[in-house]
Amino acid sequence: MNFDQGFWLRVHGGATHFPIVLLFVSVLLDLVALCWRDQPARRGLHAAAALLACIAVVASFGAVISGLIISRWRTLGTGSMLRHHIFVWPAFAISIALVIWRLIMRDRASSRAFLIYVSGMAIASALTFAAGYWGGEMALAGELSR
Amino acid sequence: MNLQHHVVAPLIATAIAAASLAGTFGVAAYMQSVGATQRQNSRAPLDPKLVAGGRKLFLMNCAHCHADDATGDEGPDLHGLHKTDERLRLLIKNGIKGEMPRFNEKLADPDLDALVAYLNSLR
Repeated sequence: MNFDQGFWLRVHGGATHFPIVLLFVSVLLDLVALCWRDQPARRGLHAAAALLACIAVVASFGAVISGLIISRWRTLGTGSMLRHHIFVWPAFAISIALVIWRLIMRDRASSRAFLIYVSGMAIASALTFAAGYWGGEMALAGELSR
Repeated sequence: MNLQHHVVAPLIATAIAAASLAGTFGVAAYMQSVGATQRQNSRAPLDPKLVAGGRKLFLMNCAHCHADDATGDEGPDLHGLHKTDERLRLLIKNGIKGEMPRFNEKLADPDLDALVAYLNSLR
């Protein structure tokens, strides 16, 4: 197998979409659960959201590492890469912090704290989408493969 | 709700997130330095005259987008490029659609050699 730039570009493309979607669906499930009246269904939705958020954070390490490889380990860069990274790093840090908090708190969090958690995850998800947009710009412009 | 829930949990979460970020940045900085050292060791010596000629051409044709010191402005930073000489020549000649103009009519082959030598001096 040839581990060249093209290989890591493909790995990054595959690895990023996974956490982007998982994070978004996790927020969505938590929001649906907040509106749901049936308690067992609510618990189930929250549990599914927590699991998806955990998988998203674990998967985001793969996305980050493959991304750093194709950017030649540049954590900021310039142009579209800089814009991409401006959104990536806060999203990465926020999602890790919130998922760790959720794992520690489990179902002991107050409703206010949980609302802050969901808002934070929604912000992380939005930042991830923005990062994806600039990542797409870079891919389309061929900045990474050249 | 005890102290652990209010203070310790957010603190632990923030610390782990900060450590993950710092670790990632640390590994990236280390890998960048390793790559830079490897490139420096494997590079053939550059002709200073060719590099100086390339610098002149760069200032005339490229600096308005990549900045006078090639650190990037509208266009990207050109320090530490990993592309082969041939790839660099093709990029300069053909440009990048919607991003960078083509220079195939403006620059002759010796000009391209000089520009590539200058870009290699920035590695």
